[in-house]
Amino acid sequence: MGSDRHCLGVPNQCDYSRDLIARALDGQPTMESISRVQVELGDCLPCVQVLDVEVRFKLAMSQACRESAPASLQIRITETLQRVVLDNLDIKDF
Amino acid sequence: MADQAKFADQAMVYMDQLYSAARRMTRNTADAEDLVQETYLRAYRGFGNFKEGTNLRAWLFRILTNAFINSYRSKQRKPKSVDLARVEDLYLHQRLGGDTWAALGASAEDVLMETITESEIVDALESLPEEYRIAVLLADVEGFAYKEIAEIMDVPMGTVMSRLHRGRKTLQKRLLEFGQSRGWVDPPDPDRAPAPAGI
Repeated sequence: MGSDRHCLGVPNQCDYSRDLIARALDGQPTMESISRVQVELGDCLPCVQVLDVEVRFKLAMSQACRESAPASLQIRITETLQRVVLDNLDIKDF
Repeated sequence: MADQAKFADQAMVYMDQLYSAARRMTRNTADAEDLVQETYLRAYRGFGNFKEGTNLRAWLFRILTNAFINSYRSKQRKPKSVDLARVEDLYLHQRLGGDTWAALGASAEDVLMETITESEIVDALESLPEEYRIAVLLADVEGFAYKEIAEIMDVPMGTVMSRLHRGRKTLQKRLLEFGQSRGWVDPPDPDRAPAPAGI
């Protein structure tokens, strides 16, 4: 564990490791940022295991839940915006 | 102050991300399309107040989230309120250890991750109560930082952290139950649950 003073070795009951794991998951983690947290968790295997699960879970979520907007929606919104722009133009602009 | 004439050039590149989020929020394609269109219209009208150089993506997501929460959601049939039975279930899960996946052991975890399909993950996310679903969506699918999520959802950072923690654990629990119901993984063995270090 990163520090015997802080890590209780029980991820859900230890503020120290919980904060570190939360930090590792903040935004878009990189291999470097995850490795840094792994080092700080040190030899606390339960904490490292939880970190591993959380990172894999986050990656799976990101891959599974993405989809592209239909082309028809892109056309619809582009046309709507063009109409709004025209409606906003004053007659004196011509 | 941003130039409205540049709006389409700058904002349209985020349409896929906004649509993905709208799909998970509304849980159907027709409503998601309407929500994204409304978001772009609101954003266009407000673009004059957007500060150039700040985070346009986060700004658009804030408009999307507000549109969903404040006006759009009321049109949907699903109730806003959190399913208390689910939350009770979640608290029970936390008391029993919470890190059920970690208690599975590495090989069972591998089996589960490799066997669960993308549509099952989507179903699990969409089954979450709204507050948790949006937080997990913004953090784990869109990769926003906690601070950005707090601004997008207009809630304190502590609320974001709490919703994320509970949302993630509930999702993991549902996926685990799914794996168990299919016989892919055995129920967690309490003896393999993470033990305090040094024991």
